[in-house]
Amino acid sequence: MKKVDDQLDSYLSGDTTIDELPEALRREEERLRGLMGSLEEDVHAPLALREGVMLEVAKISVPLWRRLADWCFRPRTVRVTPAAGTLVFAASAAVLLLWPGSAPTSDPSAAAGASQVVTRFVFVAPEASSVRLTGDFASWSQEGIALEDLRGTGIWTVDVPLLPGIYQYTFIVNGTEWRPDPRAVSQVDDGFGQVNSVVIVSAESAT
Amino acid sequence: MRLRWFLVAGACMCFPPAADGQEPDFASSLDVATRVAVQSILDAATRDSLPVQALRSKVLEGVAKNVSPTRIGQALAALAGELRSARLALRAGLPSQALEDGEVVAVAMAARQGISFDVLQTLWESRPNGGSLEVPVTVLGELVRRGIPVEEAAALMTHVVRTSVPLSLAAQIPGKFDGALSAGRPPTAALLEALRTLNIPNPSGRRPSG
Repeated sequence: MKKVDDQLDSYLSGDTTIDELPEALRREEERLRGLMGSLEEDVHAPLALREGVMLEVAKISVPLWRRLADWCFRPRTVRVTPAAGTLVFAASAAVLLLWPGSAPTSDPSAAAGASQVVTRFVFVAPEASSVRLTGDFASWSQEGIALEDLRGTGIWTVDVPLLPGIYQYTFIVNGTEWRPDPRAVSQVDDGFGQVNSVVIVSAESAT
Repeated sequence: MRLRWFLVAGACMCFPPAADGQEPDFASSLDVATRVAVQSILDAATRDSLPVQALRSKVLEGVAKNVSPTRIGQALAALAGELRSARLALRAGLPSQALEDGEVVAVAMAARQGISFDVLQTLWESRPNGGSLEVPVTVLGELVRRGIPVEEAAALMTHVVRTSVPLSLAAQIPGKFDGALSAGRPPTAALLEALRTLNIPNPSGRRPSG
């Protein structure tokens, strides 16, 4: 190591004082101390400069959408506990699943807000002891919807509230005989070797 | 404490309520053989956005009528094929139109009467608003089935759609036609009488032939 470095090392370690340094090093040390002292003073830009800069900044107009975009996309730290995050996620999923119309369905009864039309079904069967109605609107349940022969004349009737649409149906006589409606607007092949009756239910009136 | 919340939330995610309220009843009403016969058809129908409810209804109908699973599967496949053809035709000709399931079913049923999609497309093109065409298409099919020529029936129903005749009236055309026909009127006069009874103007420049 050079001699000057030893002197500096000894001075910086506090083993010697500034007076013990060589003349050149002592002057250098005093100059650096002066510089350090000036850096510690408060430095203020001239007032005119500040105002000028602020005026220039004010001229730059940032559109609202840009400020919103900046706010949305600027990364930031959000602190969420695991429990709260899981609950928010579960709640969101539940809302999506339960929200009306979010589930794909072709069920006409799912048409929110659609009003039902009371539709009368009539079947003439004086010999029958029971007549039931089943079809698309009754999930083809064998139990179906019971018709009534109120006057004992063999004219069986029932009023069924239905949403507007086209339905296939049939009558079940005496619990076993599947019989189409001879008064229906149409009869269609059921694909099983029999026929179904068709009813057109339109809004505002029964067919 | 947190573990308990995690378990509750996990249970919510693993066992969500049925999205379609009829799904559990539908599945539980089928025996294993029927389920096997129809499941792949229903899965494909769901993927192809066919009217699945109509197909499920056909399955339930077969079960109620004590039809064998094999035959239920055959009938279901045939119906799914008709619905798929109808939907493809509608999508090809009317790519920007929103289609209701009922409309797809009605088009499939109209196709059974030999009504081409080109004829049906005029109904969609004449529709002044976004109302459903399920009833007009069905009535068109019924008129053709009763022997009215396709062109004349289509012209009448296009007129009905274009002039926004109430569907409650349009739905009664086949019945009124049957009534006039059974009273001894020839088809042309029967149709005119049906329209007159329902106060539906006859399409100008056209007189049904019979």
